[in-house]
Amino acid sequence: MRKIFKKCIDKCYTLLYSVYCYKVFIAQYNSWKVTWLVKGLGDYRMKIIVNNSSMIPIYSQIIQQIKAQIADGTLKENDALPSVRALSKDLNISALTVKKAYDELEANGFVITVHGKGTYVNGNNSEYIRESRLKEIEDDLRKAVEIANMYGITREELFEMFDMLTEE
Amino acid sequence: MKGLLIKDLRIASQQKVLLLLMAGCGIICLFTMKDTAFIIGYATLLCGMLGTTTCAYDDLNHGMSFLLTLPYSRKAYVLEKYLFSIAAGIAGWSISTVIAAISQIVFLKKPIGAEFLNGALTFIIPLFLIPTVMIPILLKFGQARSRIVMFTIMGIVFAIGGVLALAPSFGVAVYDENLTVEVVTFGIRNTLSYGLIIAGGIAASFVLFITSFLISLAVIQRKEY
Amino acid sequence: MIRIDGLKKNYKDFNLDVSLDLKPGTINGLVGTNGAGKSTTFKAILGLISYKEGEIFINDKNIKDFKYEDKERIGCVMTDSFFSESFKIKDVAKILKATYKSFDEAAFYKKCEQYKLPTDKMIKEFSNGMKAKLKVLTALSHDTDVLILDEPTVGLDVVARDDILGEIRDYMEKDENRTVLISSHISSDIEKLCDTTYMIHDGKIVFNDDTDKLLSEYAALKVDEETFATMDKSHVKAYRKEKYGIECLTDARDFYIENYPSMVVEKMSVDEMMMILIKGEKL
Repeated sequence: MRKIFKKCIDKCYTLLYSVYCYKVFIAQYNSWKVTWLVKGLGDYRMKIIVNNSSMIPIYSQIIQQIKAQIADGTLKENDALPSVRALSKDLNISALTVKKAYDELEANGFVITVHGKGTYVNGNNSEYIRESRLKEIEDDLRKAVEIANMYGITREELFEMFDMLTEE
Repeated sequence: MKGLLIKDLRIASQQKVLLLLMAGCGIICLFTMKDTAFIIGYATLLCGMLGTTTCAYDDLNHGMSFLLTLPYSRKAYVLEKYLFSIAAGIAGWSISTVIAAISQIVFLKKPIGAEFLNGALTFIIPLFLIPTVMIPILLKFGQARSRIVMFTIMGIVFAIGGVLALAPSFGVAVYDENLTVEVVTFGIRNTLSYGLIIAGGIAASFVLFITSFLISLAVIQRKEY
Repeated sequence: MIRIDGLKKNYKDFNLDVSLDLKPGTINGLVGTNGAGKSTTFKAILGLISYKEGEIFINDKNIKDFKYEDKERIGCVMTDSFFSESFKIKDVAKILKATYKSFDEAAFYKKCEQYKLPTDKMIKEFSNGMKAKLKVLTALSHDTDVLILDEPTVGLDVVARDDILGEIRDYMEKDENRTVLISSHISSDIEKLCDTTYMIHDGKIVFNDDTDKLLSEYAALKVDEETFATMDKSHVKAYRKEKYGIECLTDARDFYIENYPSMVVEKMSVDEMMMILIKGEKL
């Protein structure tokens, strides 16, 4: 009788212990998950390099580089920019300078500041991206036209080629 | 005021030389001197000085400027100094009185009577008077200059005393020669009990103590750091 | 916020006449030569000296009406004054704990450990750098709205300076409404850290603007005497005669870059501006 009783107690203990271990494991996993997620989200993917000796004002340099990163896709829609304080700390400049840059970016529609949360890349700056893409295409087309002129390829031949390509 | 008290206690505990002197002297007095009252006086004096010592330490290296940027008001600062002086003085006085009493009973085999108490209580007067005089001077003149001020005052007091004492020999009648100090005190002793004199003295010095506190308040409110 | 309205104080050989308006959430630099009035201004803000004219407000309250709780919200570092040098760090911690409700003892000790401040030595045995760090850590050890730092990095090497400026940045990051007023002789401290720069000379404020404007809109024009005589000086604030010619201070750098393409236009710095304003002449 006693033996059975003891076995039961042991089984209970084992069961409780395994439940406890499971809970601990789940908790750990959740916290890992969160850290990983947060890390992924808040990952400072912005690389901004400021030239202190340049005649270009620092806030202009920041604006230029952020615009470029939005244009080439490094910064995607709804990505969070670092906070004003964090960026000023990393670049070793005054917070006011960073704020000026962010304010101008917001005025031109590139970013949106949500009070209390932060500054995010605006999805609606496709205008600028579109223009950058157009310029890229224009440069490439100009190159193609130059080569054509060099080898005496006519305008009509170029149009034929263009029609063929755009039909694909 | 708690922070200020902790600060002053720390300063006081650093006066190791002082404490050793007192302990050493106390032990010597206990065994060699018949006059046990000496230790009470010595201890009370040294402890009574603790308050003024903390004032001097605060003033070192322009420390007062920083201290006054702490949230304590200037009034709190002065109040703490006076309270600390009393507390330190009373502590020193009580401990030394107990030791003296024990030594009197054990070594001199004399019972403690009114005379002992009267003698002990007399030392409460300098306990009040030392901070009364020193703290306002330290506050007004700062640690370095107050030494000069003290010497000047003592010099003046002695000079006046000297002049008064020497005057009769120059034929100047400053006071009635028959009215010597002994006559005066004899007269007082005959009319009032010694206990009452002491009580009066303590009361008077306490009043001066409070006056000194008010003076110190006025000094510190006006001073620029 | 910190605001000084028309503070005037007269000394024997020097008169202070200062007004400042520091917005919440900003780090503000105060520069000037020794004896220009920096420390006097700081002492006035901290209630250490009296003044007949002018009002000083911290967090919209007149400092004359300050109570214990209000003074708790101010942290400060002074150049020549601190706790008694015979104290150790644990004595300082005990006093701070009894003085400030918001004193974080664990964080204070952790920071002292981080900066390798000796816990068993008296302050008088600390090096200059350690003393400076301890002063700053003391000011940061309790919750404040305002930091008044009088030359906290004086005599420090570049690494120690960077540490301390980093602490100030962290301080600002934790609460958006805090205000810092810091004075320094080191130009780069001010240029890298401060949102606004005030320059004081002979008791008066001679310059006051955003730091990044100082660095981007202001410039030094180096010209010879003939050019100086003929050029458009409407945007020249001050000038200084040098051996090679004349150095001008302008607040319209782009104007001169565009209209005088061959003119030497140099980036302005806090040091350079001080030299021109102090040693030069106003236009």
